[in-house]
Amino acid sequence: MAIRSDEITSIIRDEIRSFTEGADVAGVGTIVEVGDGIAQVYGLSGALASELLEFPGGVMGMAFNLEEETVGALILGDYTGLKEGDQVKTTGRVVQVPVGDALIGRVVDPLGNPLDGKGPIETSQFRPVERIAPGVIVRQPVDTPVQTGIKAIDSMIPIGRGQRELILGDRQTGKTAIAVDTIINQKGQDLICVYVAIGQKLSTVAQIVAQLEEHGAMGHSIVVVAAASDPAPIQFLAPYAGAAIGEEFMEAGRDALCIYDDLSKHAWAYRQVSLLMRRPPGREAYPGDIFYAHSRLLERAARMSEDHGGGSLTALPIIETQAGDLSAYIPTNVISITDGQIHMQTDLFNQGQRPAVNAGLSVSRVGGNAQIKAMRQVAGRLRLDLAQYRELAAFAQFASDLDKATRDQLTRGEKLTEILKQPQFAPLSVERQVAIIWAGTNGYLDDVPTPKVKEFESGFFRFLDQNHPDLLPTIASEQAISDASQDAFRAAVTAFRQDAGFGAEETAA
Amino acid sequence: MAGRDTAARRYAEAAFQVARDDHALDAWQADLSVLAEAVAIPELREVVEHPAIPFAEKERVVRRAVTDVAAGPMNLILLMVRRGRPAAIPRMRLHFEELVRRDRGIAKAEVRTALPLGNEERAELAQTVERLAGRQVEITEVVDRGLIGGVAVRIGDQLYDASVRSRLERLRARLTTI
Repeated sequence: MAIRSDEITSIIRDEIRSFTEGADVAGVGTIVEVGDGIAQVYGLSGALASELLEFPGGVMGMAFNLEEETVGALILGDYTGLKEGDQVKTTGRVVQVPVGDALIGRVVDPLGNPLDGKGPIETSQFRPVERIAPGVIVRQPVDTPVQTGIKAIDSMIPIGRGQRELILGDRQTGKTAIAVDTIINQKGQDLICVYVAIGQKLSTVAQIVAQLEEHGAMGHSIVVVAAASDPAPIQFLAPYAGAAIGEEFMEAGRDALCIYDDLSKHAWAYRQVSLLMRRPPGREAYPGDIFYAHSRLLERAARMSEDHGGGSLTALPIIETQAGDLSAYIPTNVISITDGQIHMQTDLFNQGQRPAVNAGLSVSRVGGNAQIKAMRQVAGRLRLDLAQYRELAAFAQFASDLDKATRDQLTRGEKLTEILKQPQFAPLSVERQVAIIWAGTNGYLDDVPTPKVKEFESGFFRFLDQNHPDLLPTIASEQAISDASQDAFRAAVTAFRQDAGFGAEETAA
Repeated sequence: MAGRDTAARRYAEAAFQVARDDHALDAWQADLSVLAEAVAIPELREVVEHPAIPFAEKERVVRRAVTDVAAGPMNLILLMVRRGRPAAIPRMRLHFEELVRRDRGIAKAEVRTALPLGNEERAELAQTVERLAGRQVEITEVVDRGLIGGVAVRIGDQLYDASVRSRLERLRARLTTI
């Protein structure tokens, strides 16, 4: 950071000029108890709810509990230097974060302080961290997709702009990978991504930032970090700060995506501060308003009506389950708040089904309206085929000889499952997804050996690019598969199968 | 949630209402300070706070120790002792005094200065503080070298800080944000 000595001189000069003028007026109180990231402050009778408080040494705090004689304050910083009897001042401002374009590409803490060593954040725009969600009048239905670039999700569990889609699963099932891939897939598009890391290891966060940078995704992203080593009050504030940053874009008529990774740790942080503040514990010792804490956060995701700029804020909360227990308190709460969930499973992950999305338990309650027509045309069949496959696969384990229809159904399901596998950091454009799913659901992969499906897919894309360079762009521009495209596809697949020798070996064998 | 002062405040409010109805605020205040100071004497405090001593015994001791007070204040103190609240007596007295001040439109102000005030300064400052508070004030003076210079006035929960220290802190805050 470059310090220009003339600037400093002028500031000091101004300060000295105004030295004799006026006095600071502030409400004051005295610390009577401090520790564990919270303080009880006697006095402060004029404090506002969630007002920013100033402790000695420049440490900031937030008024959390307003009581008759004392104020319970969350300390947003290092509390080790504070002691009983220290003076606390009000600031007249509620807790706020800097917002706007200056934040794009930056890594910040929930108060907007930069953590990436790229200098100060040059913005004069601030927003309160907490805000009431937009009302019914200013909203409109979700009708535009967020393309995650992941076949399994864009086809079967589509996410719309302004939707809240929960990603939940045990640890190590690829929840964060889906979020990161979604961010990477927005490269060169109009969706601004805010990734909020709550209670994660700093090494993990650094790794995610490095991955985003490596894939050129920091140019449209903001990372808000409240690491595991940060005090619980900071972790508690982080998702609200992320939502405020996203809202600024939404209200400017732009589209934003906010990923909260993860809300289980947010619930822990909130439980910690609530218990320290002696709010009565409820189920699993979470405070009584944990549901409200999450619902007011996720309600802030919205698609604004055209009269209000038409912007959107999409929320992708992440919840980590313990040993697959979906009926624990926090997972059920967040499932009921959100517009659907993507369920990740350890056994699928270990079987090599990655992303380990359980298509049976995952739903998207509004995203279907947001799918482009081409995807809807192929996805209906895909969902049906997979559902039948799952049913038969369980049943067929006990049967020795099966009729042909059953065998065909099983083969189809096997190939489709194989198609839905996708490596990390390889998001696909929607027209490519449509192309391969179309081929799969129309039986063109039924005779391809399962290990060769990957090869078929990449070869097919290459073949389309070389021999039918206008087919995929047509799908992308028409947003649907017209009869002409359907015929073109049929011809292309048949030509490709002959060309690459798929299907031939099977008939020979 | 009940704070540490809640009980003291409730007793003080009740006592204040009784005293105001009897038009005996001054007498109550004087009696309460005598009683509170008496109960604060270590030997006496040990007796009234001791869990094993029966109340009748405590009452006898208190009545013998303090004789020339009105019935009302004495009853209040004995009530607090019987209810197991002797520890709240000093704070109850502070709250009572605060209520009396508020009733008379007097604010309590603490004036901190780096150097002791001269008589002329004191008069001038008193006027300014009364203007700030919008009522009569009862000023406590504190000399605090840490202020470096200037003056800081605290009226209730409001702090008017015109000290050199606060200016320097503000300057530091501004310089560190550049």
